[in-house]
Amino acid sequence: MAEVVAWRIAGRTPLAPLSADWRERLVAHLGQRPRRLGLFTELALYGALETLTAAGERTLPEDTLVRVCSLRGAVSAFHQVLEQSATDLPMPFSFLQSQPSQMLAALSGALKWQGDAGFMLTRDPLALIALAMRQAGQHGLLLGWVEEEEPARSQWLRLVPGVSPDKRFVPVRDLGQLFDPQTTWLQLHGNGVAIA
Amino acid sequence: MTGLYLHGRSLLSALGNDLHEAATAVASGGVAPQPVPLPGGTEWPFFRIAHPETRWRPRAAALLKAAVEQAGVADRRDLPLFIASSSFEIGATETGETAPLNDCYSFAEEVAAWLGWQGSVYLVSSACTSSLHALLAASAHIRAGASEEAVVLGVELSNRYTLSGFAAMQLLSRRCALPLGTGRDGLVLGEAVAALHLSRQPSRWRLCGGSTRVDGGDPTGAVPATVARLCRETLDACGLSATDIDLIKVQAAGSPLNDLNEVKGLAESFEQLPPLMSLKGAIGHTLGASGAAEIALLLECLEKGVWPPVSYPFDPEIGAELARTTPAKVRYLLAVILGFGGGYAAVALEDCHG
Repeated sequence: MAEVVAWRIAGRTPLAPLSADWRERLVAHLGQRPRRLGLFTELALYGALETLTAAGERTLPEDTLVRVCSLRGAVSAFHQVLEQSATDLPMPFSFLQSQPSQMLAALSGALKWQGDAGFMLTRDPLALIALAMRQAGQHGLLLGWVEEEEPARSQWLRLVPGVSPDKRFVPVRDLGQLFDPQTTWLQLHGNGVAIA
Repeated sequence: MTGLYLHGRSLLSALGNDLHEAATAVASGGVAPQPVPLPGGTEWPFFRIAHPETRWRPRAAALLKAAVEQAGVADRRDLPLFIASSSFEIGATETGETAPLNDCYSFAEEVAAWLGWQGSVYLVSSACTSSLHALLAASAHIRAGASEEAVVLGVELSNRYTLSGFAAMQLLSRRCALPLGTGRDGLVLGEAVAALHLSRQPSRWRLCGGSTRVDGGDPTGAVPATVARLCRETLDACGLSATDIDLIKVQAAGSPLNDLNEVKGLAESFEQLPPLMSLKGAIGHTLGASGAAEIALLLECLEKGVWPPVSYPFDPEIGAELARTTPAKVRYLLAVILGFGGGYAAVALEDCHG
């Protein structure tokens, strides 16, 4: 990837709060109502599919790197299983819904895609973007930040590699800058990220 | 390709509180899992680390400090640290030592505080493939020039949550794990803390490369074609061919279907299967820590010339067996981890003294 010096934002979710009709939009994307996935996975699918639509893609090229980040993960299912397991075995679907890996599998299934997908937890989303950029191949990345509450959000970026534009890059201080429509390019900047 | 090497390594597991103890235990026939009762009246075998501390957090802190010291990185706390875990500190929540988890990254911060770590800390949680994900992320970090070295720390410690979840999924054996064996009826879970120190400086074991995949086609079981694809991708990434591989550390956790499908997938990639070995019968399935834990133990076994005993018949339907002795020559080995949730990961290592 030595020839790649910048990443173009090909699609993204808006920075605005989650759309009130996000569940209906997810059903429209999937063509059916999701079953037994859990809130965390549904939120992740919604954001990912909205972003691919914005990028004009129906699925991902195989060597795209997918990284989903969160601070709390599938916290509602987690608390449910914690409570259930204090007195008996938990419900199998509750346990499945509490596992972030099931979200990755659901994403793979919904996109009819297989590839390198991972889940990471962080308080520094920019460091994770930089880490993902170092691992990504020629078909780029799909990055998501998903939280169930405080408030619920599912923010995603689709990045594709390109030749660095003749623009001034400035270091990013806040994740929100990446969702500003004025921001169209990213590149590595030390252990962080710069935008143009 | 830039050379990356495994410098230090460590493992604390049911086999012992360091790799020397683990190799000694393997040589003498291993240890048996101990029964753990769960609310509701069921009881399951479990490979627990023997440690005098009974409180969850002080015990975890002591185990992690020992792992870092034994891997030789206790004074390298400026390095990037890649923690791999699927259960974080759920055990401490269950014992009431911490408030119910609301922010999983706080576990990484707590680990950093226990260790006095000053470098960047990343937390990977992709179920059973977490450690190999972390190892490949650390590898990319170094290859991109972001650092010269990195540490991967696999952490999976006792908690009721995971054990009861796997029991509810009917994935556990009530007796013992029999990888590839006749009558195998499920996994046995275990605890492990393992550290791998990755560096550009040459040493005996070179990390050739690896790959990971998620296949949502069947989130609960291995798909042979995906196992085959994983192997081909890993070999391609490493510039190796199937005939170069002298040993495969398989996932083979004792699952009736997954063991079968894993070998089917391997057979698609390897015209003639190299010797196979599994460590799940020795330390249990240590989930997020398993990649780091099994690599650390495997390399120790190879260096010390000890081999996990296999004392049960193999399933003729699988058509493959685990090697009963150390293969005569192991220059290149493949370590495979298959995960809950359609996760697949593999890395290849080279013995530069081989």
